[in-house]
Amino acid sequence: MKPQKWIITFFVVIIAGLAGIAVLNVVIDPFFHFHKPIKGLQYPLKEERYINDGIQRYFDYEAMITGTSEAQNFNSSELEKLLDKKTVKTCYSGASFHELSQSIQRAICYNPQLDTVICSFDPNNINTPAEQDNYTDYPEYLYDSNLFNDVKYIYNKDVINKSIAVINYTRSGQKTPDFDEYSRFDIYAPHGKEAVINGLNTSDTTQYGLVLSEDQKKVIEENVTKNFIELADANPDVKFIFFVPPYSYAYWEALERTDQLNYAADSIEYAVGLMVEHDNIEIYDFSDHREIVCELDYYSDSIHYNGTVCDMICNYIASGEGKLTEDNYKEHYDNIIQLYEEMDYSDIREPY
Amino acid sequence: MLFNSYVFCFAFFPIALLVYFAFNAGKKHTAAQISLILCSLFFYGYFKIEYLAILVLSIVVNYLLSRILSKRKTGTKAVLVLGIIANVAVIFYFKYFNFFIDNINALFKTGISVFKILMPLGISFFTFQQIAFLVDSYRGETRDYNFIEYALYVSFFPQLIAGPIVLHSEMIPQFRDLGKKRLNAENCRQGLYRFAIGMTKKVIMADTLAKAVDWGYENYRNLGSLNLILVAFFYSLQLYLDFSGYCDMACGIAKCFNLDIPDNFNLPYKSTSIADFWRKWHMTLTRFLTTYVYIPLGGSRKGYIRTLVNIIIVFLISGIWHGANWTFIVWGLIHGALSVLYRITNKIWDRIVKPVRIIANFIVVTFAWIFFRSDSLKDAGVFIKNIFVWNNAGITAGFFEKFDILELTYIEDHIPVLKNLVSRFPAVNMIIVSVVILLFVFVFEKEPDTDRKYNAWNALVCAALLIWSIVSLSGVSTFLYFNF
Repeated sequence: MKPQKWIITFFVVIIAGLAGIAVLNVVIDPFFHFHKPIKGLQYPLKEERYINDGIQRYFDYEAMITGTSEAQNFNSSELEKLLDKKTVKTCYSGASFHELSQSIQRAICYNPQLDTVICSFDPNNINTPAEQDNYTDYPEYLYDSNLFNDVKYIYNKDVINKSIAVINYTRSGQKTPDFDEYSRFDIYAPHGKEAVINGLNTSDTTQYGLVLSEDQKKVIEENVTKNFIELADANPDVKFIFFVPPYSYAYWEALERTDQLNYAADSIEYAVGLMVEHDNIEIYDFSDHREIVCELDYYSDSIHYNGTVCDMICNYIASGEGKLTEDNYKEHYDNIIQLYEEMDYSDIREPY
Repeated sequence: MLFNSYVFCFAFFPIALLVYFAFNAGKKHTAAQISLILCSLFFYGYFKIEYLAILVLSIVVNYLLSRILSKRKTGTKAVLVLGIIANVAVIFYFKYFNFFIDNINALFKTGISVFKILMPLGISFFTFQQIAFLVDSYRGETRDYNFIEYALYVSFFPQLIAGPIVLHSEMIPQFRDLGKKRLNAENCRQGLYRFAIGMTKKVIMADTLAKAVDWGYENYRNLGSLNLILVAFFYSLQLYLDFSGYCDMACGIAKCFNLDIPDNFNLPYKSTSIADFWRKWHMTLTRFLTTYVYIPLGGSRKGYIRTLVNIIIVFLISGIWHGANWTFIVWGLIHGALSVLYRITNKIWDRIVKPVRIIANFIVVTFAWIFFRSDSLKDAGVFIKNIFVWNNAGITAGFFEKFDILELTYIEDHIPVLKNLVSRFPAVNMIIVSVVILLFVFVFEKEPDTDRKYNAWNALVCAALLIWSIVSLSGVSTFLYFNF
């Protein structure tokens, strides 16, 4: 075969193949990077770190629930009912404050209608550096407006697979999950005392008697200020509602046993103290709500609770119960320490 | 920049090619060469702009030194020695300084601090290339080369980052050849073919094996003997496919520019001895070490014992060149010892039936690669001990899962019988991947200078492989939840 003919054949196949792939991935667009969902197609809604940005860009909403896995089981319909605002849910399991802050910032930029953000304020993330991200390989090309790096999305075999999955999902008659169903995991995970106890870390920890140091306070201050306070100050028309996830008493048991109760409570108190001063920030803590934290049937492990607890949190927020202010937050954390010092842990200390 | 990247395939390569031949078509050959130098510098600086300063300085200083050496006046030998020392000092600083300090600290219990030194990519390659140039300048072999030709010879992007280590005598005459200034369809065809195959070897095959190998080396302490053997085996294949794939891409790209750069691999795992292996693996490094180290040391001309010593020295230098870790040095010494052993016993060895020699050679090379891949001698020691102190023949599910690649799972999802088989026998995907790769490496792959028949079928296959490679450059990561 003549070289010119071979080269032409080669490039015709390349161009046709790449064009076909581009058409598939741009038209189906399984992660909503280029456009909103197409009417007539049903989307499985998976891979939250890939799809959340698209939801934030193109969906119609005024309120957004976000946060870590502590927010994944929320029923956005419950919040819609209480706040009378169209609500979406975009959670990032395992995320740091930095990742959440970046996501909220993008959402505010994309959607001028967004006026309420509800976000989990995880104690486990408080004492970490402000710039810390807990993962690598984020799909940054989906988060920016650089068209050139969209090649990583368009010419991506996993995205091709997702596009085909959308077509098959639609053909099978399944429907796009709503925001109650999207990203929730409580329907898959076993709950109850046995599940919680089985998930406990029973290994001996050497971290006894920690005390919150001045250096750690600086880390907390920088983390909270750079990621949430500055964000709120820059967007005075947006209400930021943070809630400290109500970890079960099994979580606090480990802290009590290793003499870290004061350390943990002081860390949260210090972070909360920075937040309560701001007009457009509300912060809630339900760690003293025994009807939640002592009911292990709500929990799949020591810190993750189901949708029932999430509905309770929604209703508390709507009524103002559990809200921390400049006047009450210190007393609240004194009460937390006392509560968990005096708590009866006998029925969950079996593994030890 | 890497060859296996979107920016290279969609932008850099086509633009560099077009600009080069556009200048040549307008008879502006010097401008064409300058454009290629600038493209090469852009290619290099794309990694990190700071690296560029080191490369440019290295090129300028070495060219000036070579001009002094070419004049062959009194004292030029001192200039040569100085030039070699300066180049070695540069590699020493960027690549070996912290390793040196760590060893001083370990030996003398000192606490000298190490600091972060960013090693410019490819420094070992372009420095060795220029050392060779200085030596040849001293010998009067580079008198009439101008700066542009020299700069292009060193910086030419297909060979800049990872070789092949090219000689001025094989490149600069090509830069001058007016017959190579027009875009040539036959060369483009050969180049594109080789580029597509190289990309497939690197992105589809090597990167697939890399997932299992990386997992294996992260978890080696918990793996059984058979599992470890498989990890070592797959690493041998991964390394070959990765490096030779990259070299194929380099040769293919250069061919499109009408430039021939030497091959680096010639079916090395079909070697029948360690000496044969080094005639087929990283051939340009072997050539460099033979020409500029082994022969100046006396080669085989200074007696039997001295020959064996020279062989050990060459492999020691090869080991050190490969990396700043005792593992590379031990790897080099193993090959030195094996080469010496072969030298002594070759009359007996060469009588063994060929397939046995090929398999035995592959096994010893794979064994030596364990040191090459390990992070430390201790890790390598534990890895090897856990193979030989046979503990179990089980293979962990985590290892098998690394072979559950998208392409196979997609096919299996549509063939229930196959899906059933995989769920009952988790090794199936590993076996499929292994068979395909082994067939490629040991059956389908031909020697680089083989005459190929080009037809519509292989145009289609090459195009399909290139598309497959391009869409494999990016994926959707799984963010494992760590209970935050």
